[in-house]
Amino acid sequence: MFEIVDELSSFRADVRAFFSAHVTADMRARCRSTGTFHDDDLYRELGLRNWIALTWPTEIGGLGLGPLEALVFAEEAHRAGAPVTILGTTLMVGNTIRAAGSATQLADILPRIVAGTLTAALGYTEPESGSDVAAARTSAVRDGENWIINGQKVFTTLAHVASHVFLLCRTKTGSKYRGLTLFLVPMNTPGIDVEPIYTLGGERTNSTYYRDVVVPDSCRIGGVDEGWSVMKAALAYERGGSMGGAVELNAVADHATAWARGQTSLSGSQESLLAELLVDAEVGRLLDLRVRSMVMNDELPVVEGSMQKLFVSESLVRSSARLLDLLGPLGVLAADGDEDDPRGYAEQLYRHAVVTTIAGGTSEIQRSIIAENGMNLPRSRGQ
Amino acid sequence: MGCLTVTGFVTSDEQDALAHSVRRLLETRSPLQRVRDLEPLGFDGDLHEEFSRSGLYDIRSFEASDGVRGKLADCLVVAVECGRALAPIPYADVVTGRQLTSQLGGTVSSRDDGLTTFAPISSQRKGDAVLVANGAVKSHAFVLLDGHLCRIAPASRRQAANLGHLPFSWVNQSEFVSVPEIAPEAQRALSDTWMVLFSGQLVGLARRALELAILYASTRKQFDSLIGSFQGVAHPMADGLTEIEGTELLVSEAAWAVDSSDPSARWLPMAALSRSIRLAERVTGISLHVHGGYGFTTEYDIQLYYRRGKGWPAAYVEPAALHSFLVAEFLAEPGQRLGGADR
Repeated sequence: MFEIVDELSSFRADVRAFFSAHVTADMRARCRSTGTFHDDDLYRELGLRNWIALTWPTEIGGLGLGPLEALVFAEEAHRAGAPVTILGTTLMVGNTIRAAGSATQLADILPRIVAGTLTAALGYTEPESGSDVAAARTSAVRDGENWIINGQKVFTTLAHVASHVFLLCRTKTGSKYRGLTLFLVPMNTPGIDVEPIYTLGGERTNSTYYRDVVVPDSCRIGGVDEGWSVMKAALAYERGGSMGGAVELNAVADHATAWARGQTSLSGSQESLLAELLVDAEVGRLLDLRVRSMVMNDELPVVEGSMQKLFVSESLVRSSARLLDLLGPLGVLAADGDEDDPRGYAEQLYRHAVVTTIAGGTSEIQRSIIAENGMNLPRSRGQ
Repeated sequence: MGCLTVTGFVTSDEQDALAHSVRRLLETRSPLQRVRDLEPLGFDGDLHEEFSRSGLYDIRSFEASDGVRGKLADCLVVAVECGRALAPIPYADVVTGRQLTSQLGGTVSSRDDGLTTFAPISSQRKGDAVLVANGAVKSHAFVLLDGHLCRIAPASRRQAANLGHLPFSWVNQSEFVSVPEIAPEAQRALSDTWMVLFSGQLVGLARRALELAILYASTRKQFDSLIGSFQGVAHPMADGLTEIEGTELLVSEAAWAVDSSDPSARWLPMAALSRSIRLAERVTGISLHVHGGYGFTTEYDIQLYYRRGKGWPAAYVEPAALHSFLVAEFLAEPGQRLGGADR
């Protein structure tokens, strides 16, 4: 059942006007050259407007808006090239805290997230544990009222600009899934080091090192040894199209359409490439809308979220290749510094797209979730 | 700058009830053994009669004078069930044929005089002979010949044996009766009906094929394990289910666009058909493969789906031509873009 919702128009206009006033060409150029898609001032401005936690209920400082407004926001952010990547990870952490935090933590942390003064990088992945995230070995050992953390995380994206890192730590050995605990740790705590990792897509990420990092027990989110169950809820939220959904994929279709409209004629194979790309984008958008619709109805989109994530990311990779096929040799040319130069888009997209099939749960993880939960096939891996 | 959204991707209670009753009817009247018994012709006159009597072709009734009543989305529910069951009736062709009949002012009776069908596709020619869908059963089959609407009179004709066991036949051009031209917009409406319903048949076919594979993967053991526990088996199936659900959404959206005269109705039915064609091939391929060697035997039902998953769409549609129309339509309208921003 479909319908056109027009009430979103004024919100869209507001968001568009805001980004157009605050996202400058200089800002975008700096993000591209550093690979850090974040701007402190822009983020604070968003906080002033309550646009960071816009889907949170008003009782905790949000605007009480729905997943469709979140989609509109993501579309406009993408259109403007606004560097707001940290919003997604911060909200994930915030949602985990909403579900598992103490009353003191709710009162202390949530207002800062809403205001844009607390930002968080995710510290789950380790050099030896990627998809098998529960195999984390970074240790947290109790020491009176404190915990002492030692270990290494990898792909701690935006840790160099975030105020906090959300660390998944081993607090008990011998029980893989029942020996993990989560901590929200200020990045300025002594003993934390950040080393950059540069990526194929141009985005910077990090390795982060923790040497005898002392944190008070008040940084612990959820029960001791209960980190896995706390985190799983947040993972479902991440895949549930909390932010971007199919926006990037739809932008590729828009780009290809604009290109095609500029051609005097298209060959049969170009028509087929374009048709596949358009249809993929529409299907991705519908899978994303289905997830949002479930969230609006207070349903947890486990299988549907995985389908959306799997389809959209795999399609983005396919579409990035198809776009290069369409554009021909000119497509591989890199941007020449001039923002209005359409060249560079396809080249950059091709380098970037592949990470979307890996980050936030690989395609293999999504397929296993779909197989086990959507088709009741037997499990193919550990718990 | 509105936003296309969904109020829930569930069908209405009425649609659920309709799907349920059609599924029951097909389980009783058209089990797969009967589908096999009716090969190679692929047409079940009794089932056609039953559908006719039950009004399943006329859910969306047409009157030349006051336009369309009822919803394409409801017919879609029936089409999906026909696909699931591999029902040997050309559901999309008949509904479209009846719509055409009403546009022509009912000059051909759809109820008393047998089968009236129309698949608004360009006909294949070989010399003076034209390949006609449903030409192998006594039917008033309409065809588009070089862009002109024609009709054959009911007669006994030999089937042109084919992959999908469809009742296609070669018909000599001299047997065609010309009929009054219809307006381009009316022709377009026929096209939309047919594309959405045929897509529905393919989606239903694909979903049932995958269900057969799930059953098999949940019972068959190799290396002391259920084969569904192997990622090499399970993951292509997960891709298949994802494609099925994505395509279902797209086909439903196309039906909605037609029912509500949304501007996206210019291209969504073509998008739905394009994706359903690919879906049926892919998912029946995955599902047969899951069955291993048994899937290749005539004894197992999955081969019935594999054959039709390609044989049905390939008999009607050339994907490259469809893509060409789709792209032309999408690009022709300057405001036409995917939903979401700027709608």
